[in-house]
Amino acid sequence: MRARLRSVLVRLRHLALAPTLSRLDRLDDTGGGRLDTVMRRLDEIEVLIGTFEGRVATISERQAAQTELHSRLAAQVEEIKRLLGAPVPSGES
Amino acid sequence: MNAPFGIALDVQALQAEGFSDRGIGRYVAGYSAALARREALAAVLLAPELPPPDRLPLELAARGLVRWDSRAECRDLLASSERRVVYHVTAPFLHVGRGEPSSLAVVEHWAEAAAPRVVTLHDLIPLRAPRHYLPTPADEDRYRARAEWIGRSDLVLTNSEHTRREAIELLGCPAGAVVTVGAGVSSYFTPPDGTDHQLFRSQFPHLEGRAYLLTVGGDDARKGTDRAVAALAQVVRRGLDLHLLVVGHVSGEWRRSLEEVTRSCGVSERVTLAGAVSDELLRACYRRAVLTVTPSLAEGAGLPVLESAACGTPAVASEGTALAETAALAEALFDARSADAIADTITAVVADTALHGRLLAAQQELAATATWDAVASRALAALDRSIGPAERHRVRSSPLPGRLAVVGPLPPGGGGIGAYNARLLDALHVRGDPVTDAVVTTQSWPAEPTQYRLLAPDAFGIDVRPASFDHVVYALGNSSGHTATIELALRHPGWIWLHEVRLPAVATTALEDCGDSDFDAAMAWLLHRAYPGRAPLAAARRAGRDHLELAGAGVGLVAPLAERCRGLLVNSETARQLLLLDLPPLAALPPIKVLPPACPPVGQARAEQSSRGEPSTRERSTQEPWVVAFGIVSMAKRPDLLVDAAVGAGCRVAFVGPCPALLKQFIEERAAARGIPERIAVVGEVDQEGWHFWMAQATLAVQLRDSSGGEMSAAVLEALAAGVPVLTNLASASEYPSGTVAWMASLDAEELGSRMAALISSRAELAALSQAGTEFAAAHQFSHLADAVMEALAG
Repeated sequence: MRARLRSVLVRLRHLALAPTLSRLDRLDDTGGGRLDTVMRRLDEIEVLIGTFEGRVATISERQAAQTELHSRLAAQVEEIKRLLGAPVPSGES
Repeated sequence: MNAPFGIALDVQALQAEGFSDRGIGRYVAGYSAALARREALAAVLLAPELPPPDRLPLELAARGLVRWDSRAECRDLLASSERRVVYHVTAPFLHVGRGEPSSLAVVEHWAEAAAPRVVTLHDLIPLRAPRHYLPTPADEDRYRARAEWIGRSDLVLTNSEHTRREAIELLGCPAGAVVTVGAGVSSYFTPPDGTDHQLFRSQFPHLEGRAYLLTVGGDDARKGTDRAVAALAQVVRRGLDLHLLVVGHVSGEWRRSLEEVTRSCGVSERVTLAGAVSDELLRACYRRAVLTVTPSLAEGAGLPVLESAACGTPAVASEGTALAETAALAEALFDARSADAIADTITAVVADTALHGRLLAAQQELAATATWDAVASRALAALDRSIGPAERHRVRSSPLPGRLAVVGPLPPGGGGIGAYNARLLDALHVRGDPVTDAVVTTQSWPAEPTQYRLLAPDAFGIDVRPASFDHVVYALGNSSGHTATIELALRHPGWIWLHEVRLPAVATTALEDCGDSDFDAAMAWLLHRAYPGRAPLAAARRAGRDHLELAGAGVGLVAPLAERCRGLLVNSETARQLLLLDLPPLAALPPIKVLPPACPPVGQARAEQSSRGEPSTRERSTQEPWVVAFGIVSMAKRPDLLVDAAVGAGCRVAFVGPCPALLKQFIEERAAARGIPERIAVVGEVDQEGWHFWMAQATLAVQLRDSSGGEMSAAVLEALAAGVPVLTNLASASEYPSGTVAWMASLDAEELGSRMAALISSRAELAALSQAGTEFAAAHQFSHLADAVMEALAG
C-alpha cells in the first residue's frame, strides 16, 4: 500500500494539486486510519488524479495544437510578406 | 540538317543555383545551342518556378524556341509538332536533396504524355561514395530512386565512356540503351592572343612572369586540391620554381583547411586560392599556366583537360576517371590518391620539354574534335537508332487529359467555402474532364474517402508541380484561415476565386497577435503595397483592427494578389464592380469572370425531413411561425436588427449556426430588453440533421449583411434549394431573377419587421417565393457551376 501511496503522491505533486496533497499527507501521517478507509480514499483520489491527468493532457494537446497553428500562421504571414516584397531581415538571404 | 525528331529539351540546369555556372551548366548551354543549329529542337523548356536562366545561349531565344514548361505547353508541343516529340532531360539529378522540389525534375505531365525520354547522365559519383555524398538513408533513398528513374529512360546519353560503364554497372541499363556522346569544348577556349594581359595582371600581379600550375578545384575534397598542394611542395623541393593557382569556389571552412595544408607543406607563398572566376579570367589562367593539374578522385567528364589544351596548356590527370579519356597519353596519368605520384608526373612533364609538347599536341587533337556540334550529331544518331522505324512514323504521343487543382478549405473545416468546394469537386469529378485534385488548406481533412485526390499544401510545388495542371484555382475567403491559400497563390500563379472581394479580415486576423504599433506598421506597409501612392491611411487609422470598418471604407487589399494571377473569379456582378474599385485604376487588369451561384440538390432538406415523419412548416402553422437566420452568427449579419424586427413581426426568430458565447449573450439580452425572450432562440451549431430540421421549420429565412463584399451566401442558396422563402439584403441576391428572393436594400429594423410581417402573413407570396426559389436552385446546380468554371478558365 505504501508503494501505491507514494505513486499517488508523486502524481499529485506532478499535477500540483496542493489541497488534495495535504489531505493525503495527513492521511499518511496519522497511520492510525483504518485500512479500508485509507484504501477507499486512495481509490477516490486516484479517480480524481485520473480525471485531472486527462484534463491536463487534453489541455496540453489543445495548447500544443494552438501553438502549432500559431507558429504555422506566423510563418505563413512572414512568407506572404516576403513574397509581396517586404524587406528581408538582415542575416537572411 | 533537319532531325526526324523534335526534341523538347529541359534546360532548367541554367536556372538552378550551383549548376548554371559549373560544368553541367556549360554542358547544357553548349549542347542546346548545337541541337538548335541542327534544327533538332522542338522547344527549350524552362521551369517557371525557378530564377531566370543564367547564360542561356541567345540563339535559342532568337529562334523562338524557349518555353516555360507546363502541361499546356507540353500538350501544344505534342499536338503541333510535325515530328515525333522526344523529351530530353539534361540535368537529371536536379532537386534531389531533402525538401527540394523533386516534381520539377521528374515532371508529371511529360510522364503522362508518354513521350520517349532521353537523359544525359553526367556522373554517378554519389553512388560510389554514398557515405560522403548521401549522409542519411533518406538522402540515399531519394538519390537511388532518381537514379532508377534515369535507368528506366528510353535512352541514356553519357558524357564519357567512364560514365557509360557506370550506368551499365550501377543502374543496370542495357548496354544498347546507353550511348557515349562525349562533351564539347567551348569555342571560347583558344590559345593566347595577347588580349588578356591586363585582366590577368590586375587579378594576379604576383604571378606575372612566374611559372605556375593551374588546378580547377572547389569545395569538394574529391577534387584533390589538398594533394595538388602537397605535390607542389614536393616539386619545389626537387628544385622546380613553380606556383599553384587554384580556381573555383572555395567556402570559408574549406579555404581555412586548404590554407592549413599550404602552411604545413611550407608553400603558403606559392599557392593562390582565387575562388570562383569568370570565363574570361579562367581562359587567361589556362593560357598562362605551365601545366594544368587535375587530381580529382572521381569525374564524369574530362572537360578541364580539353579546355586547358585548347588554351595551349597541356594537362596531367588522375587515372581511373573520365579525365583519363581526355589525357591522351599514359605519361599524363597519375594515381590521384598519392601526392608523390602527382609530383612525379608534374616533374616529368615540366622537366621534359619534348614530352610537354607531345602531350599538348595529343590533347589539342582531342580538343579539336570535341565540339558541341559533334556531341549533338552523336546524340541524334543515337536517338535515330534507339527508336525503331515503326515508332518513327508515329508523330504524336498520346493526348494529355485536362487537369485542374482546386486549392482551399474542405469540410469538416472551412465553413461555407469548404462546403462549396466539396460540392464543386464532386461535380467536377462527375464531369470527368478535367481530372481534378484538391489541395486541402484546412488542418483536418475530410473523414470520408473522396472521389478526387487530396494533396497537402506543403506538397504543392514540391512533390506535385503546379505547372503540371492546366489550371490552379485558389478559393479565397476573408479570414486568416486562408493564409496558406494566399501563400500558394503568390508562389504559383493561378486563378483566384474571390468568394469575397474585400479581404481586410485576412490581414486583421493574421495580425491579431501583434501589439498596436506592430499592427499599425504592418497595415501601413500593406496599404502602401496595395495602393502605392494612394494608400487609404486615414481610413485605416479610423478602422483600427475593425475589418468591417475597413471593408466599409473600400479596403479590399486584392491588388497584390491580382498582379500575379492568371485571372480572377467572382460570384456576382456586384463583386466584379467592387473589385474594379479596389484594383489599380487605369492599369491593365487580369481577366475577371463572374461565376453563377450553385445550390445543393433541390428539396433535399424537406424530403429528408418528410421521410422522418416530421410535420412540415405549413402543418405547424397554428403556432407563431419561425423566421430563421442560417449560418455563422456574427455582427456582420446584424442579429440585433433581426431581434428588433421580430418585436412587431409576430414571429419567433432562430439563429441556426455557430455563435460565439458573447454574441449569444448579446442576442439574448437584447431579446429580454425588447420583451420577447421567449420568441428568440440561439440554437448554435447543428449537424446536418439539425440543419435540415430547421430548414423544414422555417417559414422564412432572413439573411442580412452589414456590408457587402459582393459575396453570395451559401445559406441563401441552401434555403432556396430547400424551398424556404428568403428575405435578404445581400447585394449579390439582387442579381437573381425577379421573385427568386424578397430583396430589400436598406438595413432598418422597422422596415425589416414590416417586410417580415407582410411575408409571413401572405401564403401566396410565400408559395411564390418558394416555387421561384426551387426553380432557380434547379437551374443553378453544382454541375452547372462546374461547366461555368471550366468555361471561364478556358476563356
